[in-house]
Amino acid sequence: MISIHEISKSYDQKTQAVESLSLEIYDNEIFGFLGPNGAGKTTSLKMISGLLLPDHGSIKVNGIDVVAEPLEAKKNLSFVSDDPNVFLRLKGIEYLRFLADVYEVAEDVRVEHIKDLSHRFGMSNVLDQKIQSYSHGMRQKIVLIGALIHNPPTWVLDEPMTGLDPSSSYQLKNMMREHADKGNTVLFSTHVLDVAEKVCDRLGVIAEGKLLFVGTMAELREKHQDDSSLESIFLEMVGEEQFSPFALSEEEAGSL
Amino acid sequence: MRKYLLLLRVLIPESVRGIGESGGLRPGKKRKRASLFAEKPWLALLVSYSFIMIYSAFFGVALTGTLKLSGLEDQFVSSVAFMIPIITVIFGFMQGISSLYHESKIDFFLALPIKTGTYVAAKLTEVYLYIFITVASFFLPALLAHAIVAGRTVGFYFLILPFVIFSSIAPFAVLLIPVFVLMRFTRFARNKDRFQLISNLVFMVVIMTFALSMSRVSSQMDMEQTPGLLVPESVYSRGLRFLPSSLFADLMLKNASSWQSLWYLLLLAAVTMVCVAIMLLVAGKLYLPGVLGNKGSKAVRVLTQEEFRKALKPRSQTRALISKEWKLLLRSPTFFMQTILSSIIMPLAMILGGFVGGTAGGDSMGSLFGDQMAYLQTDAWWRSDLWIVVMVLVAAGIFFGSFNMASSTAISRQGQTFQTSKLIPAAPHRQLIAWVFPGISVSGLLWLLTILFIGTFLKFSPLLMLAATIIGWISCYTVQMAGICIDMKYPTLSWTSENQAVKNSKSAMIGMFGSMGLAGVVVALSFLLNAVTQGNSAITSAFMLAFALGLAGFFTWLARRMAAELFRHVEI
Repeated sequence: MISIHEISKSYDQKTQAVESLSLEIYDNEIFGFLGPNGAGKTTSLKMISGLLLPDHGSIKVNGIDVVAEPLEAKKNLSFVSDDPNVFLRLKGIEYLRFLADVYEVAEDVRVEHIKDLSHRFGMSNVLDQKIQSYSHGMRQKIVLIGALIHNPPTWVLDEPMTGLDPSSSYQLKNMMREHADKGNTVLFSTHVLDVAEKVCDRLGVIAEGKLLFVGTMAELREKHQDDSSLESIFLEMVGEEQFSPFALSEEEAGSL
Repeated sequence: MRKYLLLLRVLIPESVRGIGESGGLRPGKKRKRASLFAEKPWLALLVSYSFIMIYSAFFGVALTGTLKLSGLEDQFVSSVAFMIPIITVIFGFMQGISSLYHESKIDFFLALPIKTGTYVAAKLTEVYLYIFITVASFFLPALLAHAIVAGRTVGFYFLILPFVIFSSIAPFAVLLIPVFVLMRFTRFARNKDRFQLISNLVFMVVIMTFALSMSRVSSQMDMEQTPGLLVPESVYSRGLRFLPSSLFADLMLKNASSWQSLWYLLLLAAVTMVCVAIMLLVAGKLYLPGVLGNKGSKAVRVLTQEEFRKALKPRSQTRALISKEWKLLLRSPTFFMQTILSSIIMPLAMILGGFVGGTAGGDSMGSLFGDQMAYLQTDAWWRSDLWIVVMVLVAAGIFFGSFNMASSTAISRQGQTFQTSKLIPAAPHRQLIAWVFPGISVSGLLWLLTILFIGTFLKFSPLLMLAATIIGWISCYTVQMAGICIDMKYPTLSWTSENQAVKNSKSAMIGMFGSMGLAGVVVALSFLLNAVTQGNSAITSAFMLAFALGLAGFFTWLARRMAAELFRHVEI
């Protein structure tokens, strides 16, 4: 479970990336974060995983405060960044061993997990090669395998499907479902509305650092009172925010 | 021709920037104003090569002055004519493969609507530019200095440039033919990292040999002896017969005052054109297939069940972190060269420089250090000069340690992967141990070897050997801990080239020069204390030891404190 209470984050004390965001993501749930580029999705996910400190507010992962008890919180979650360029000069197997050692995964468990995950993602044959020889999709897969070795209760995934082939993408979606069904939490961001529509139990729409909507797909349709696709609803919601004259700076507004 | 020139307009500035590139020279995304070097890459290039040029000019003056006394100044020209193809072959081989086959931009250019021949010609010009700059840095100032000292005619000055250009183009062209064949039909140099590492090592050895030769020449000059040429006369006089371009270049320059030189120039140009034509013919057939073959992935090796299990054997967190640090440091040619290797090369160069300079007059090392050896074997220094021994050891440990930038770049080297350091559930102090471990262990080992070498040579007593080792280790440790503190304060995490993380970065520079400054402070403080205590060697020594230990303790405390804060204040 992830509890986010009134978190805000600004860069250089000028750009407000996230503003007073509050959210509860429950166990047994896959939660999708939707929003245009620069909406604040990655910043939010990084704050949840402890990579960024919120200016205000608090975040708890399974009841553990991410800021106050970072080491304990890290043991409870795995974060997959949108940039899969990790230690490129390590071999795939060396990278996985490093993470298994750092997360103190028992020998039999790590062997079993890595065997299973690398088989699912079609990586078994390339583990002895350096990561720098991998394609973008393969790098994404090795990062995913590394993040899931210790099987934490909370998964935080930033655009995890990017670069994955259809088979791996399908596997990942299944794994997310299996993980949530075991009583765990999965939070992920995506640009692919189709994925969000099919995979998420609930979704949140974020634009310009503000949460515009939180709920199920049915609630979203109900709110907008039509049967149109998620794409239309999303564009309608985000479009309103993005093209609002209030989104312009004073200087820009003045030049109009 | 238009497209060839268009390509050169892109390739040459990139190449010049690449040669002169040092960390922080390129304008970064976040930098408001580009640095002078970033705006004028040729200036960075000039700075990079300036020390070779200074040595070269000095060499030209020194050697010509002596040869002139015996009326043998023409030997200088022959010697240079013989050396140019050697330098061209060494650097051409390394840069040729690296630039023609290892660059990632090749895919982009091959996709452009440009004839293959045009692209190949532009790439070859780009590589030759590097060779020309290198050869010219080595020999142009020497030839100019030679011309001035030897009182050569105006024609000589005019012919210097054609001499350098033509005598390097022909061997370059001939060299590339086996390179094209090797890269097309064998698996040679497929491992880019390994090739780059070996190239860099060869480059360092050549530079060191050159610098040591200069040092020897200068010592011989001081002793009013006849200095040796770059190569023995018998070697180059025979060798030139097999190098037509160098032979004609040599004759052209020697006869610069007569019209004969023009005939030699024409012959030189003809030989060069034939070599280039053959090379272009071979390049047209083999270059692109070689490049495309280079892109192929090697055969996949699948781990057996046993290997798989063995490769995943559990280790402690600390061991895993240290192992990762070592692997990333040793597997990156740039990181290895700029941190570990530079810490080995610099002290080695100093010791060898002293040795070469000291024995240039024919003295043995024993006779040079005879007095010191005799003194160290007595116990006189224990009583009167202990403080000097302690001061030298503390300062030398710091000074030698300052060349090891493994710790002062440990955070910066991580770049964007610092995110992983923040994400993993490993305590900051545990990660700190891994960050400083390579630096401390390499510095410690080097110090031990240095002391063993010097101690054995100067016949140190076992007690002095032990004291020297321990005091030096404390200093080396202090430098590494101070280095990591500086890198934690000024980490360079947003880099696009590994060079930017380790070369001329803020933390590396402060780390190196700061440590050198600290060595100076130690010396100054020792003299001050000795004066204050009215020459009481024991008190001064004790205070200096306490100072060294205090520094080590302070930087350990500071590093632990900063590591704990680092994950909070560095956002990525």
